[in-house]
Amino acid sequence: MKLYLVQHAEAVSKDTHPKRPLSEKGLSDAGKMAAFLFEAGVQVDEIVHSGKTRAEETANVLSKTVWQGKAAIEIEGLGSNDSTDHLLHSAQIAGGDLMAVGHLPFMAKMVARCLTGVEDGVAVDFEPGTIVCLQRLDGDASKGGWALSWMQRPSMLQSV
Amino acid sequence: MRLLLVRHGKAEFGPEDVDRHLSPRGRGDVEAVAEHLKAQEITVARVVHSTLSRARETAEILAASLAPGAQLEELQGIEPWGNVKAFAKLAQMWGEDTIVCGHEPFMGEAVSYLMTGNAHAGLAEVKTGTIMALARNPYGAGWQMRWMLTPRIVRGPKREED
Repeated sequence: MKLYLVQHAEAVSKDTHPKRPLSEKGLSDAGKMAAFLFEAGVQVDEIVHSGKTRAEETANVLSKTVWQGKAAIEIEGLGSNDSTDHLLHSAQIAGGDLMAVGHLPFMAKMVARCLTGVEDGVAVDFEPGTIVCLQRLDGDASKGGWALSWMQRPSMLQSV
Repeated sequence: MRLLLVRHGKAEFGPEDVDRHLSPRGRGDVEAVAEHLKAQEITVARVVHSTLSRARETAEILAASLAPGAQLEELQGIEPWGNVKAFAKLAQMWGEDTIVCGHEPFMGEAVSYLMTGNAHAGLAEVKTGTIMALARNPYGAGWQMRWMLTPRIVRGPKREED
């Protein structure tokens, strides 16, 4: 079972728009990531997001290539400062591959907790639009129970 | 300074302790990763490999695309049984972006040690042909992962024959 942890793509400032939708660059970056996932043959069984416009928009762009364009589902517990308990529990019992789109510092804490068991156990360098793919390890939950499978960021996809 | 840790591509069938060569599939995997990175204009100054053929051949393919003109350097101590702590000490002193081609379990232990201080944290699933890019953590002592790619993710399922 795979868990895809995604930081929303770049959004406009609060002054430009109070709901902070994706910027032009953010939309383009999310599109590049969706194309990368398509080329890689990634498909998921569910996409969830935090409910913030920038997370929902990112999730729906990615859904076009990995979840038949279905509308991503808003869930509780993906806020930038929420506890990682809820998502971790959902991922531990999930029967299929799950993609979650949210915010920093939540996503960085979630990666660290999955890999090491503690939220500050390790640092991965997120930029807006980054996707971290984790693989659930069956049996050994002592070190967090998950391992890094791959990680990709929009700035690594300059030419498409 | 970037450290790009690579596990050699799939090797020919044979006993673990023999100095095996890359298989045609392993060669194709590493070429696909090299082409993908070249298209993103990734370049490095140095390419280092272990004393074993499959790591040297992997380094040759990557160097041709990503480090034109660089001399390959053989490094002792990054074989499957190498000392991860000694390697980490060495890498701390490097100033240029460097590709390091080696083996499992060494590379998985190296990435775990560099990122957490514990070689046995089991952080990453390092399949053949995997490349992991690390940079020094700007807020702490260790290293941070920037990206990690595998032949599977770069080539896609259609071109994979398992």
